[in-house]
Amino acid sequence: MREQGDAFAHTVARRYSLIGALLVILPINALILRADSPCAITNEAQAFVIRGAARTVDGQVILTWESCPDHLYEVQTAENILFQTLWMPKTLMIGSNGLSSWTDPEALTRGQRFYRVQRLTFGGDEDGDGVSNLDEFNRGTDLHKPEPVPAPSNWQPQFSLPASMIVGQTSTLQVVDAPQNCNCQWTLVSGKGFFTNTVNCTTDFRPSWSGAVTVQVACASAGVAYTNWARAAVAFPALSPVPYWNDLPVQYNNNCYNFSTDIRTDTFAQPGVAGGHPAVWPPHDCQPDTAGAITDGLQAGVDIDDLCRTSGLPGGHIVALLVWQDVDYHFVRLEADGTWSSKAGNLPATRLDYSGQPMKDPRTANLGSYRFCGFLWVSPNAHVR
Amino acid sequence: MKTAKLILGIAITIFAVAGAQPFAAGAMDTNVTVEIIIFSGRRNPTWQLQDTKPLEKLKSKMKELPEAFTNEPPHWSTLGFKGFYVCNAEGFGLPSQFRIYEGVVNSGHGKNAKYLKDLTRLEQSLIDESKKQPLEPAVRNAIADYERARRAEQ
Repeated sequence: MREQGDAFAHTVARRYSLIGALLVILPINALILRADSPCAITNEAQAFVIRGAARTVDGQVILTWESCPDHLYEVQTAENILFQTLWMPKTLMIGSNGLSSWTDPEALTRGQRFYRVQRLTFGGDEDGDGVSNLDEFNRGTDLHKPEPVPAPSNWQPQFSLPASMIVGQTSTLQVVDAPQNCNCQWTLVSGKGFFTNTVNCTTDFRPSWSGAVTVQVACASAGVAYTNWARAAVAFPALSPVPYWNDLPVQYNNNCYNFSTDIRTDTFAQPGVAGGHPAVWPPHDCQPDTAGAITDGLQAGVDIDDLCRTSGLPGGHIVALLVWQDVDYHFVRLEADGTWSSKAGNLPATRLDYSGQPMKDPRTANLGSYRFCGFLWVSPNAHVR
Repeated sequence: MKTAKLILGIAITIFAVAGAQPFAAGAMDTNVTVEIIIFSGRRNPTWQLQDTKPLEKLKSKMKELPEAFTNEPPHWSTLGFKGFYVCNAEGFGLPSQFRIYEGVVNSGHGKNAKYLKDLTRLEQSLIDESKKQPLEPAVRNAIADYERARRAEQ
């Protein structure tokens, strides 16, 4: 029995209709005798021959086909021949010199089954994963499913982080040379920030406080982990320098509200005046000056521990309001380095608190009679008068 | 007619004298303003200086006052009561505006700033005059606290 495989898959196919004990062999393709030697394959597209498809006395089906030891042969089966037949691989073997055979152990339980044999070159790559058919055979991996490709031993996942970032700024990080099926995990080694939209080797990173941040990526490929890291210097939005506010006549004509909003008016600006709703006097609590500031374009409700989600950073900047009950109010502003500064009325601007200590947190700094109210975000469109 | 000329002459003389010495000692109304340095957001309270004798005394001793320091102490710029600004004092031969705090007279600004020890007790006279002003309790209390602290130091 000789038969040509179909040209598309370089295979041959036969139909065995097993009904009860009767074996029916229905050739699908025309029979063509091969002229060349089975072990001198010069044209991979050329058909090869199935020599036999026999049913044994105990009911098993034995396929026999012409083969060569420099090729692989995969036997596939299907339950039906349809427009899009689903061929299931059953066995893969290196060909013998002359003939190869395979016995279907499941044939006994089947009423009908179709077979085909696919010839594969050693150096070919059925699934295009970079691993040759022969290597896949030797590893026992699936010829038709791409396998993770181990990265070179000296490989490092490469990604770039901007050298300097602003709090709240989003930077998309991507491992640019990741191998196929590489699985990467992003972590923050130092500093404050978080990752969003993480999809395998890509993520969005947003720093949430100033200082140095170190981002690490660990990529696992074929069971091996590869790591790399990058650093960035993170700052809050830069404001006009403190000394600028201590020159004449700037110092005498601009107060804490001017300084903290970073808007010079030379009018000793008051919350709400520019917005048309001046703060009610006296400030019995935080509400009047907060409301006035809001009408000027500031935004309340800022959580200092979650600035990225509760403020408009990296645009604008952050200030804090404090109130001396029934007497006065005070604003302080967050500098680029994460410390706080303020300007007491028409005195020079300073980074010190009432005790002469650097102001690290307006909630805990010694600011005399002034009590902390809350943090606000100064929109880039804020205006004061 | 002679009487009228006499009265006119006396009047001219009075105005001329007054014009020549607008900030004469003991004058009740001067345009010298004292600003209490205390607020951050609000404008500071002020009053017109009543007793200008301390200014004259300061002027007479100004050249003899020793230097207190060269760089302004950092706590001079923090919140709370931080002394007085005396403004429009040029009529007394003093700087147009100067500050007095912790017994030190500060004139000039930045690199040109001078800090001289106030040996004339001008600061105390300003504290005393502030007590006569209609100040709100918080301001009055802050000055009183400062005065007590200063006395304790001395």
